[in-house]
Amino acid sequence: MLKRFLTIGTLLTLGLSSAQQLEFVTTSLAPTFNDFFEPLVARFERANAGVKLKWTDLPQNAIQQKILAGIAAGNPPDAVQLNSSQILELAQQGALLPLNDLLDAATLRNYQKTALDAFTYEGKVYGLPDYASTRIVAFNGDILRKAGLDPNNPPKTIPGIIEWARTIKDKTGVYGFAPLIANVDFLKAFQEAGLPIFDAARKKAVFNSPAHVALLQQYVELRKKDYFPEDVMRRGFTAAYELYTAGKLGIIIIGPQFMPRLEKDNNAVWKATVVAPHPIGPGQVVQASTFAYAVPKGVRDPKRSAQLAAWLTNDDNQLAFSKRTGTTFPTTVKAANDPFFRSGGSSVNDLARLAAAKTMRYGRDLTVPVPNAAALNKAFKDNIEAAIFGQKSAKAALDEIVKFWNANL
Amino acid sequence: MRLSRRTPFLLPLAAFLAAFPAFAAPLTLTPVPDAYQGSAPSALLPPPQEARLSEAFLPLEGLAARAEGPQPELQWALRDLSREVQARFGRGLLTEGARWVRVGTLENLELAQAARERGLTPDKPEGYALWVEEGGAAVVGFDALGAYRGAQTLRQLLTPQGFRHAQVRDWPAFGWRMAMIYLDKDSRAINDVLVPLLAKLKYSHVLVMSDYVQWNSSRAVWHPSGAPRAEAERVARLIREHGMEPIPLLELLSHAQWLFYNPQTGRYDGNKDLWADPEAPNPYAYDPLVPRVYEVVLPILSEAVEVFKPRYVHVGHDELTAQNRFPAKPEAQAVGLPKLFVDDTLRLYNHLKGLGVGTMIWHDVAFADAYRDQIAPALPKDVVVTYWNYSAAADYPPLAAIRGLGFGVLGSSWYNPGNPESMAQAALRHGASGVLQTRWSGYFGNATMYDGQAEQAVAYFNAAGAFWNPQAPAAPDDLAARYRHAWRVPPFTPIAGQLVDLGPAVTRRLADPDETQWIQKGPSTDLSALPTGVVRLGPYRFHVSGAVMLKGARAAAADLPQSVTLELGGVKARALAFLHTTGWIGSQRYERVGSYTLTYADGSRATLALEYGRHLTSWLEPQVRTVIYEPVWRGKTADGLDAGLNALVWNNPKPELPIQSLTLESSGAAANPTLVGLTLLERSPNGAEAPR
Repeated sequence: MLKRFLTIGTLLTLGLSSAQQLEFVTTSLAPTFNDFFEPLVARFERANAGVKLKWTDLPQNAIQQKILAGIAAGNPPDAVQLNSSQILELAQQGALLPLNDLLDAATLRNYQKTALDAFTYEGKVYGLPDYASTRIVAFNGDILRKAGLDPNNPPKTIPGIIEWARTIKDKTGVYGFAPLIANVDFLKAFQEAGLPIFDAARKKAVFNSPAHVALLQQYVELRKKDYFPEDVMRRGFTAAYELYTAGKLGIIIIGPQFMPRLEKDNNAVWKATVVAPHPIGPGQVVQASTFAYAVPKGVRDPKRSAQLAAWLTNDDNQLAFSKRTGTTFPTTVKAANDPFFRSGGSSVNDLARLAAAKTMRYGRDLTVPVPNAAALNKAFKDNIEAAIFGQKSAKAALDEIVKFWNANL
Repeated sequence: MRLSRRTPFLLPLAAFLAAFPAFAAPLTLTPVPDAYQGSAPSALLPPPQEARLSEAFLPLEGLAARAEGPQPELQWALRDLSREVQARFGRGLLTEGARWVRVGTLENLELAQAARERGLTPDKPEGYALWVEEGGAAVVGFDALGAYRGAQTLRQLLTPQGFRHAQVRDWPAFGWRMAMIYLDKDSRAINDVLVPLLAKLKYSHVLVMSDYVQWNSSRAVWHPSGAPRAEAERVARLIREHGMEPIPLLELLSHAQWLFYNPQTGRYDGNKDLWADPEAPNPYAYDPLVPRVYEVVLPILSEAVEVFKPRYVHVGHDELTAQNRFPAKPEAQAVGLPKLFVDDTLRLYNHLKGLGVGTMIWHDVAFADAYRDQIAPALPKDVVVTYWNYSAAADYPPLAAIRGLGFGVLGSSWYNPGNPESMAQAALRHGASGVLQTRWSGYFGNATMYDGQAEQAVAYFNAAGAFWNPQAPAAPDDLAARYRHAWRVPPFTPIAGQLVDLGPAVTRRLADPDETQWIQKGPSTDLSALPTGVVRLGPYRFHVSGAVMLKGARAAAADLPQSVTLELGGVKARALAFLHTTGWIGSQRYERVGSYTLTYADGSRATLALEYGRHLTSWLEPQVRTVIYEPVWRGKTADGLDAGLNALVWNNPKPELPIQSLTLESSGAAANPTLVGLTLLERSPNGAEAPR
């Protein structure tokens, strides 16, 4: 009863009058989560008589265009769910409203600081975190056994995983692993390995030290000897998942939310899968993809839109959503401490969630916010690819990126 | 400098003078007869296999051209030569004269003998011999297409002094040198430039994205931005009359949104019974288990064959799982992706085969590590596979793997630096049939080849060089300028003008030894590589003395003036050429970062808004995305970063009025306008203002 009272109280602060419509957009959650969002919309409309709440779901690659087109046409959606890269890029383009001025400090304090930081650029908050998902390691037990490896004793370090990947390829002929290093993901690899991106003053990029070069060179050598498929440089996780699902990849770095999908896509592979927490390297961090709701520039009533974003991401809704997915985590302080996330059964899906929960305290969205992100990220991607595909040395590639970044920071 | 309205009035005098040096007197103007002078391209492209060039010239006076044979390719060659001369000199080639340019093939015994005497006899399809001498010039093809290709080389030998003396023996490394274009509502305006350009670059085939063509058999999915069928017919003809073969691309199975467009709603909610994933918010693939799919698709394929009369149709089949679930329905999941893919491909293949036409597909699903074992063995070996990888690489082993499985394969590249070159070299190494330069500019994005994504069209040049002659040295660095010249051919007749010395107005020096000049990052990141004084950059002359850099959002640009007014003393000009840039990269394309305002003697004004990426760009972003401005200088910083400056021509809206002053204004964004050179022209090299 108290919970219901609080929920309605929060809704009432939206101060909506009748005959209004609000719209929020999510990223690739339909149709899987229709059973969560449709009741959510109904709950909102019941509490705000006469107000229609429209839910739109779009593929990740279409959502930025939708926002920009909406701004240009004068009718952007009120709240849009995006990842941190997208939010930072749109914020730099002036397409999003800073939320600090639209919400009180107490509301912002509801969120975990590390999650909120991923959407903060130059001191302004551009997104209210909704849910986070950290990575785990999944192993195809059948392939491991063929390679003479013990699925019950998986490696606890990234170098250990690489060593297993080599063994799998050498002994079975199938790829051992598919590292997630496409686009700008190597920036995350640096951070997980404890290697800095910037100097202490955050004025200069420094990721061309001998240690950085050595890390990149390791992957250059792996690619050169065909220890991972070239397709992952082109299609990233999609290629990795496709191979794993087909039973042609020994190890995959994966979000636990993909386990229920794997169960449907290839039940035999799912049954053969064993999971483990993602290794925590010297950086004491692990990538946690975080989505947040942002408010586009040009909404009719910015405060009301910000309040909608806050409602969508409040304790109750975040907790309910993560319980529904079973594999993601809330980002509000209160909901994240719910005992649900430390308990579960023995299915692969439950074990995947528990494996992720074990490293969630190390979870950070490791996206690197920089000015002119589009240009800087392209320089990073092009040079890393040139190194991986043998067009230039690892050192030359990193030197080139650092020079370009430092000229433009 | 004159006070502008935004200048603070209460600055201490010393600070004011430091920040705003006064120079109310008009700037110094230097009249020159050749403020603008077009020139021949720096090197032949594609680079010939064998060529000897000299510094002597065959003048145009008394020079006529004739075809030595009945083949249409020879007439097309004369047409293209004449157009080149017309664009450069304002007149065409003569039909009678004292000396001749002769275009023919080895079938002409006299030309064959002349080629043999010079040791230039062509011996490969599309090969040619070419010579330019005091007595005349000739192009002799191994076949008629060879003569046409040779004429494209001769066009590039045209200089302000006439045709440059040369002897060339040349042939292509690949029989398939394909480039991709699109059909949409802007097709005519864009493809009428691009198709002749591709011919000039000696491409042999053109892959024509045809998804949204308004076929007679596809009325139910007509999109208003699609090209009419008549335009598809016209472009197919245009391609053939430029010595190339059209190959239509119809994206089927995947990327099939075009089949779901609903003209009644204006959304992609049509043909729902065909959707592979009925629950998807945006349809992407069709369900091969639905028989009606083929009632819709096969007539369209037949019509495309009727229009293009191609030897092959490319049916896509890539990135099948990139969006939505595939397979999604339980019955499709029971069949599985590999069999669905194979069955659909065979259905289309057999239909095309019945029409006497071959099938092309992309490689990435059929030859994916996950599916290759199941799909590839089930496909007919005469399906041609286009392998794509858009990163430059030392090698592309899948080319060999696909060929090893018995399929013909083409290597496909995009515009990343080095990608076409490395793909062509690998294709040659692995015995591929040819190469394809793709373009992914959006289904209705033709207009962006003029402004927005021109870098993808610039890559046609790199690719053309690599596809014709993969072993040749790297392409010249003026490709973006050459692309612009396809839109605005630089005349060889000089244009007089006046060079403006910006010295008194300079706010930052180009060299930055002590982190107080340029962008205050020191000598490793300055513009000291730019030549100074009176210099020729591209076709323009400028008097370069330093930079009039304006205020911007970055701390290092905070103390600069928001606006500067340059007194020009009542000079008249038809056009103004600005050598300009921004100190930092803009965060948003087309953001308004400032303006130029002309104030005329009668007090009236004209303003040009400066949009980032359209009118100017950062000196550290040398990649060109538009033809509105012209790349005129490329260099490197001391620590090796690529740098570049561009020139923008503004046709004076009131050329009859004396210009009193020019005011430069900054919007204060990160990308701060920075003027490095200004030249006033008596005639515009641009013609009419650039379309949008």
